[in-house]
Amino acid sequence: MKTKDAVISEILTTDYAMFYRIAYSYVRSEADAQDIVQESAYKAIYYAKKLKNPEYAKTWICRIVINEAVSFLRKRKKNQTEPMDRELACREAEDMTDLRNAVEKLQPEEKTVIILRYFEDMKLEEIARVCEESLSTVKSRLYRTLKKLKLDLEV
Amino acid sequence: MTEWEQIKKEYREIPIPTDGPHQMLEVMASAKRKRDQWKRVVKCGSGVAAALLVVILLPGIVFFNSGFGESKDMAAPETLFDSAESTGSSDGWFFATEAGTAEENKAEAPQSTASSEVDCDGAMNNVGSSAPVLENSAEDFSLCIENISAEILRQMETRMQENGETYYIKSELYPEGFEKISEEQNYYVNEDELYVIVFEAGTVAPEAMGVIEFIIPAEVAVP
Repeated sequence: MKTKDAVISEILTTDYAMFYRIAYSYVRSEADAQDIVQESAYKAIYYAKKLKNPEYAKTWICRIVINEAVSFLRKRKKNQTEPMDRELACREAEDMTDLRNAVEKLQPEEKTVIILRYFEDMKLEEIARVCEESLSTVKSRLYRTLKKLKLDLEV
Repeated sequence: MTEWEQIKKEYREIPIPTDGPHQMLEVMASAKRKRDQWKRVVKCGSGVAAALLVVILLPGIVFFNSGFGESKDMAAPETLFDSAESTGSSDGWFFATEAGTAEENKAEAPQSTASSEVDCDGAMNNVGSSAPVLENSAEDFSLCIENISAEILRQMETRMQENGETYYIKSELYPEGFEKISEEQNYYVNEDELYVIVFEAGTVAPEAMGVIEFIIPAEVAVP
């Protein structure tokens, strides 16, 4: 029987690219995304005992990565007091097309469901596990977010 | 290409740093070290704490008993401490060990070194064992792994048939199922001096069944 450590290690190495892309979608910086994935890997091993069912290791690790990314964003926002950064951010925002801009500006929970559903092709049940929400919550959140983005996609 | 498809494409083409996975492996190894270092400290610490506790209590018990005896018995505890001073040992606790109470201390200290679960609620199902003669050491345990694993599989089959319980047994359909225990398997020794193998909830059976225990009959626990 594979140990929890073995399962977690295997998923971290096999799906590194996925975890990296998810982190990058939030922080938009290679160095920061790398840090986030490493921090998440550390926590996944250190707190391996908290993983109840090894079958759900992948979604459990996703949860850790997203949590790390979101708290990183919160900290970054707090520390951003210089007007220069805000100017830069505004200019960058103008360059982006409306849709890309809209996706960037989504709330973390909304961004999460979009990324996991349409970029990582996760099943709704998996997304519900990652977000620790019910399936119906995830469905309605997706539907609402698509309306917000004015997209006519299947939920 | 629609804008949405463009955005999806850009996501899928996010470049992955080539040294990323390698650096992550180092971080993972360090996490495992840090995590398990506490396990070792706790095990050593609890062993030392248990021994110390007995050693501390023993002189107290000796003193208490001699309080009922003749006055000459009162000299006993004083002798202990006098000798401690005469041997130049500033630590009276170590003297108590030298006074030959070591055997009693060892007998009362926890037996299994491979488990941290010594306070389970007694036997779940008594599998009808004869009077056991076991030398409970970690080496003996590792020699019996094959036999113990076979016994566990037998008991799992029995429980599944008789009680309708579900166990995860290794098969082609379920390669992660239980096949045999490892040397690091959690276990403890119960009052009948039998090995009790302990599985965390969700490892060999559905989590709802909670912690799973198997009592190994004495005749099985032989190399």
